[in-house]
Amino acid sequence: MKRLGDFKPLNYARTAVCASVIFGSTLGAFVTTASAQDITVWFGRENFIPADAFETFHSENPGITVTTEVVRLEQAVADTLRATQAGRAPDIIQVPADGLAPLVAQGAVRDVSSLLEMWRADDAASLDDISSVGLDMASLEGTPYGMTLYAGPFWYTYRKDWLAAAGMDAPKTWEDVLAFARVAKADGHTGFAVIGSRAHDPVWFLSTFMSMGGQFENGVPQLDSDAGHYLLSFYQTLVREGLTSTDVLAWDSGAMRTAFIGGNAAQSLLGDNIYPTLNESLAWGEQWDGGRPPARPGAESEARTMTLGWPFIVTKDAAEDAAILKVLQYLAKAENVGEVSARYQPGTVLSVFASDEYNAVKPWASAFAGEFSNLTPLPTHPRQSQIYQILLDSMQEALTNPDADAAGIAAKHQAAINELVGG
Amino acid sequence: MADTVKRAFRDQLIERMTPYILLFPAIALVAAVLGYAVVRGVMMSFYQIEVWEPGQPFVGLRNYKDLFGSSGFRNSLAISLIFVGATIAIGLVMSLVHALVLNQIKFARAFFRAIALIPYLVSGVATAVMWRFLFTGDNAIVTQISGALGLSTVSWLADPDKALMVITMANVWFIAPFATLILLAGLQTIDPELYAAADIDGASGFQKFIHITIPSIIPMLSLALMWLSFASFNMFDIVLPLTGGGPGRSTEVLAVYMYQLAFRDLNYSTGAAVMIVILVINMALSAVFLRAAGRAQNDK
Amino acid sequence: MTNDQMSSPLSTRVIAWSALILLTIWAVLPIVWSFSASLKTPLTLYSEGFIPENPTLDNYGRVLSSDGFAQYLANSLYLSVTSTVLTLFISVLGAYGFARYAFAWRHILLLFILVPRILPRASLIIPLYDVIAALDLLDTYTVLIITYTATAVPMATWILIGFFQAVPIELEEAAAIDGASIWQRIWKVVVPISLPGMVTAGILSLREAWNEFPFVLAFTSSGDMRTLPYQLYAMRDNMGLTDWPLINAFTITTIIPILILYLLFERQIVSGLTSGAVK
Repeated sequence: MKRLGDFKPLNYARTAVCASVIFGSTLGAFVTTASAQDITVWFGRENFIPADAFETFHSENPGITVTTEVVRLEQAVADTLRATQAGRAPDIIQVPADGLAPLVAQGAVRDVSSLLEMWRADDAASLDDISSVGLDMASLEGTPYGMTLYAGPFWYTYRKDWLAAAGMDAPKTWEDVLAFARVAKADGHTGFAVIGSRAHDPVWFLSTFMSMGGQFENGVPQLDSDAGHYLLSFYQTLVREGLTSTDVLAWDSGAMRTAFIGGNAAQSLLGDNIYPTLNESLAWGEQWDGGRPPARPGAESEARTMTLGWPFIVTKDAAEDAAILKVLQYLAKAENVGEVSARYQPGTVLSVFASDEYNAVKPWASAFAGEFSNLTPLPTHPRQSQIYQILLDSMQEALTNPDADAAGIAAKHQAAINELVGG
Repeated sequence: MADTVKRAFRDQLIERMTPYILLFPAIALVAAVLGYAVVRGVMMSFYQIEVWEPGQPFVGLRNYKDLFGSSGFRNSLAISLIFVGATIAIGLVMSLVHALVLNQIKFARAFFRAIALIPYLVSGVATAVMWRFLFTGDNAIVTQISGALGLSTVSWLADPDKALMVITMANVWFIAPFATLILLAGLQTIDPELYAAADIDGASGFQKFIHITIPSIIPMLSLALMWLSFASFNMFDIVLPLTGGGPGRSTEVLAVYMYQLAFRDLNYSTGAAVMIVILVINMALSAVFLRAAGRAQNDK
Repeated sequence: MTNDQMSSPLSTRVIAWSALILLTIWAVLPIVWSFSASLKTPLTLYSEGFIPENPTLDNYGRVLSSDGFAQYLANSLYLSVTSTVLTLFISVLGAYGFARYAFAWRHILLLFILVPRILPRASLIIPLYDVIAALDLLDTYTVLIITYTATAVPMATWILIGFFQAVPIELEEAAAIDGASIWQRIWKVVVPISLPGMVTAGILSLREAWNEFPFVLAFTSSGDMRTLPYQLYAMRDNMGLTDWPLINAFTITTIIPILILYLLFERQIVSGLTSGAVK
């Protein structure tokens, strides 16, 4: 056995322990701060934190210290429920709006009616500047639990140049979408880029469902309906006719967006937040355009444009209303919402939409303004996460079996959903 | 006088207590973390602990009954068995061949041995990301190769059967190197005299392999088998980032199913029941391997 | 070493070498392909082969300068080093106890140390979560250091037992006659002689902590607590587009430190593992 000189492990170990203790305490300083009025905010994405990062807030409110943490939207509801049970929930959380029902059902969140009254008394103008959808998406059965400052739909997005070359008009129904997809396919493109994997919640699927007139009962999607059958057979047609990628079952949102932005796909459902990136590769108005998702033929009047929202929700044991209000008002300031929405998701603060800065960064914004006023929030249910898994099952079954009976697939999974929510 | 007696007694006591004192930190830590987890897991599996349901009533074996009645669990169990079985079969052959050739060669042996263990150092998440990249995109390397061979160009991750193959191969890549090392250790302990004697008897290479090599490394073989089966049954780090259980539920192995049940559906008690099922399977497997190894040793 | 390799026919050697080369390619292919992609741009990602025409380190620059990277790296380093030091300390004592004493319950205790290896790590999360929450330890370094150490101790102990048993008892007796206490005998006699075992156990513990994923996924929630593997898992969500060159550069960045350590101590690790496994 070889000896390595006069190695003294104990000394090394001692040094390492000392070093790690010193190092550890400095690291710890990053995360733990304590003061009289300490407010913790969980943001769903790094991108939702204003660039100012509460700097002006702290100088204006020396008595309040805001700590921000990022908890991914995908796990924000589950983490909040776990944190609540452990008695260590933050004060304000940002969750997907469709995750509100589980939080309410578990009593994890607080009715903010009185807080909103304080807001109105303090500064009615800023409250009225928030679109009504902002409050709607943070409320359940009329009770408000917070405020939605960011909400965005998936726009039906298509290649304007290819459509013009084919001599077609902008699709109004999903049949038009298929017709355009067939032309694009003949030219060697992906006709309609769609997500087929289980990587995300089925929000694109549900957005399509609602545009087709799909309905919810008490937050439960009614897949076994004309709209649901049409939706599943639409996915089946895409696969059967080769109008989408053969890898569709592995496609996540990144793959779908890359296909469209990379110039391989003719159509897709894209979030408003992707448009700036898209516009770097393709020119709006010339190569691409977008609008509300098409309708199901014969069900045009039932078509709704779904929007997702990412509300800031106040938790049950949060700090007193006065401090929480200050934080919400700070987040809702037009300059902060404007800064975030110019680079990320669209905001619900109306004056931002009208501002020159915003329209300079997002030149298409004014063209979409009308549609923005006519959005329908995605409904929510306490068992949402399990319902979503069943919806993903139905979607993947349709994609895997393009020749199966769509109504049969819908009925089977509807039964599973009903059993879940009934039992 | 009394002092020395006392001291002698004290010394003896210290002497007798020493091993327990030395072992205390290790045992206490393992008991507090791992032992506690098992006991608590067993207990949880007899209660209904769900975020969606109020209270935590005792339900006896109902969680297990629900589990074996649910198609999701049976699906995961079947997938896990295929995944583990295939990993063991492929992984054992590959690691045995790898160990044999590493033991055989003389040139640059240390170099090749060093490379053989590299996958073992990579994290499961990094393994998953790299394997995903091998199969992702229209021009992914594997898709290109399979296209060049005139086979389907559909991404393997989009095909339920092939996706299961992908996670199995990624798993073999990740865990077989350690089995190679175990087997190599066994091969190095074989007495060269045995081969020399067999040569004198005129035994062929294959005969020597069957009658000398294999019997000599039985303990190492069973250790390698145990490693491959435990690591596969417990595999979580690779599957979740690589496929998330899809497409469909074709790669939802038990560990992933358990995680989703507990942390997405927030049904802790049924998740704990899955944990106990995995634990029991692992214990049964190790008993089988150890007994088989013991019997083979006795037969020798 | 077998002596039949002297006389092995050419055909056997050809087969052995082909198998070895195939297996070696298999072992490095995913890493090499990932490394190659990390030197490309999204445009040249698939159009170029293994050797990029205009390799660029830009992606590594983007990784190193990305938001929070320094924190994630610091977290990974701190957790790995701390838990490894603790693991070694605890395991040396435990292994010495097992190696040197024949006391009652010895075998059962050894089993107790080894059985936990067969527990699925992801499954420990469920029962541990409650108690960690009750102790108010969620989202702290402490909980990760404790759990990392607890899962590393059994294996480290196992490896060290083999080494300590190989230390001649006479050396300790000589030291004892010179007045060395048991504490001194362990740290001044047994441990220095078993240095390869210490290196092996240390690097394996380091590897486990550096690569750990389920615990950090379940027991932490704030961005400040993330380690490199967690960030590698989570980074896809924050991307509008899948930026494979960046992801691959990140992957390679997480592998390099442990790979360098391994290559420096490869001989000790392999001999340490093999002798540990044999005993």
